[in-house]
Amino acid sequence: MREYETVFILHPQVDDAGIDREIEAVSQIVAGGKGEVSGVYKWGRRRLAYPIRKVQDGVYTLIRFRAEPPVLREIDRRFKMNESILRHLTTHASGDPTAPDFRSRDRRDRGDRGDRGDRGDRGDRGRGRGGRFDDDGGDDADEAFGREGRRRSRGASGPRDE
Amino acid sequence: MAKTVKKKSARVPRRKVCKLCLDRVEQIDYKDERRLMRAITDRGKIVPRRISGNCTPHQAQVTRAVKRARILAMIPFVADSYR
Repeated sequence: MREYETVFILHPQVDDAGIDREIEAVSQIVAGGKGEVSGVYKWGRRRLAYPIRKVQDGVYTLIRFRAEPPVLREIDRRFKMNESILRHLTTHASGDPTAPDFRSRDRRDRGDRGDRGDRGDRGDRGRGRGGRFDDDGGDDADEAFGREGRRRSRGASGPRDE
Repeated sequence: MAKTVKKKSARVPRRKVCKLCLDRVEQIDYKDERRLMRAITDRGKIVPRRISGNCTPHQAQVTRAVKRARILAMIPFVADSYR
């Protein structure tokens, strides 16, 4: 048995009881397949990066569990039929299961990188591509982009932007 | 003499080191939004290896993580506005 995690996004109009109902539904499928739930993480409501079924927000939940493959198929089948689930994704369990916004790691990252604030007027560097390649801020890569990156990309992706 | 030679050559390619290797990042997680935001352009494209300098295994992981995060609407497939 492997440990998996499934994330699902509920419609924003689903209330708290509804969220718990979906969690319960998954738990029962897992239990029915002789698996066991090892953790439930409610990320709560957050903004979607793009609208899904005309809604801009979704309620995220992550569930970790151990189970056999047929359980995964059943979960997937149920989710597909469920109208209030906007999206779902099941993967092998890995990483930090808590909501992305609340991770201490992120705060540390930000501290390290401190004052990247005023790189605003970097002007025409990314012209023709609309891209600022942010790679942790090493200037080697920035320079490489300034020279080689711009040259290579011209024509290839230029006209599409804007 | 050496100086003139240097001027004539178009550019000196500098060796890039994989940042993720330097930081000893083992796994790139699709839930690690902060990191993924740095792996895409403001258009939403995945930053190519030639720019990011990532090594092959890390770039593959980044790619997979970005694609998963897109499915979950954590990061955009296409960003049409500048942030």
